[in-house]
Amino acid sequence: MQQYDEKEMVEHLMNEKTRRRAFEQMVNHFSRRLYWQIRHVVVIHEDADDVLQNTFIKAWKSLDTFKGEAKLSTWLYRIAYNESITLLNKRRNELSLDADDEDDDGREAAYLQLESDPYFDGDETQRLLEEAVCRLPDKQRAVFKMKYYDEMKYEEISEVTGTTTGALKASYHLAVEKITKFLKAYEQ
Amino acid sequence: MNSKINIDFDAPAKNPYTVPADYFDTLTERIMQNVPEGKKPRRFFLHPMHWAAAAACVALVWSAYIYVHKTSAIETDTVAVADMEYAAEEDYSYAIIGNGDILTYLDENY
Repeated sequence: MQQYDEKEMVEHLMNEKTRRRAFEQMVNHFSRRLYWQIRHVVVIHEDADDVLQNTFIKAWKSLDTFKGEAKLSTWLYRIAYNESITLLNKRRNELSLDADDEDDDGREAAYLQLESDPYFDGDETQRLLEEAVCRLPDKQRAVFKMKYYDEMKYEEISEVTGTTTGALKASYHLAVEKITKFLKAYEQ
Repeated sequence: MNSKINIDFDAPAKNPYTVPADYFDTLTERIMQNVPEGKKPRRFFLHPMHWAAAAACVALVWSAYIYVHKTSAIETDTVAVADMEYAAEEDYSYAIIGNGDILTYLDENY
């Protein structure tokens, strides 16, 4: 397997002649991790696949705007995060139109989609956890997933989301509280 | 009542999601198929003959510009001098006529 060198990769991406080849290497290097990051946020495989494609197309089109101030991975995760939130908003709007209960914001309906997803292989506890997570606001859900599933540090999440680490810690703990409360309610 | 559910939020989470078979094997290829071809840099090339023709055109336009401006400047000067001479002559002719000839002068000139 070819060794990944960020500096060399950026140089090749900035060079018109080597750009496409370097971009392919970048896709090969980051696509799997990016996919899981997106999948954990948007939940459904088909949605994750669409968002991943859009992420790389956007990255390709805006390569000239990449200044090299942030790491390539952070830049890609940021695009992926924004695309994921955009898709969640779109889905929620679509589902809210169908839902009778406006307070629900379509989040429960998002969970119902997961129930029919053939690419979910969790046990009963994980299914309940997902149900609880689907009830969180989109950005809180994304922060929870990045911390819990992707094991990202608060500093990394901060660079991706543009939120301070203090606010992220508060958001994560609030998410854990809400999930715990939901699970306790289920136990009774 | 359901059984107690324990989730350790500090422990590494087990990924409950799966992907279709061979999904990651073809992922890079599929993504690259959707990535548009890069914009090729626009190359601007001019043959020496074209440079010479362009220079000749510029010289021609410049010469025409200079010629037109010089000519108009000379014409403007000529008109100005003629006007001055005419004005001086008119003043003079008006000044030399006597009081008795004023009516005749006005009849003839206006």
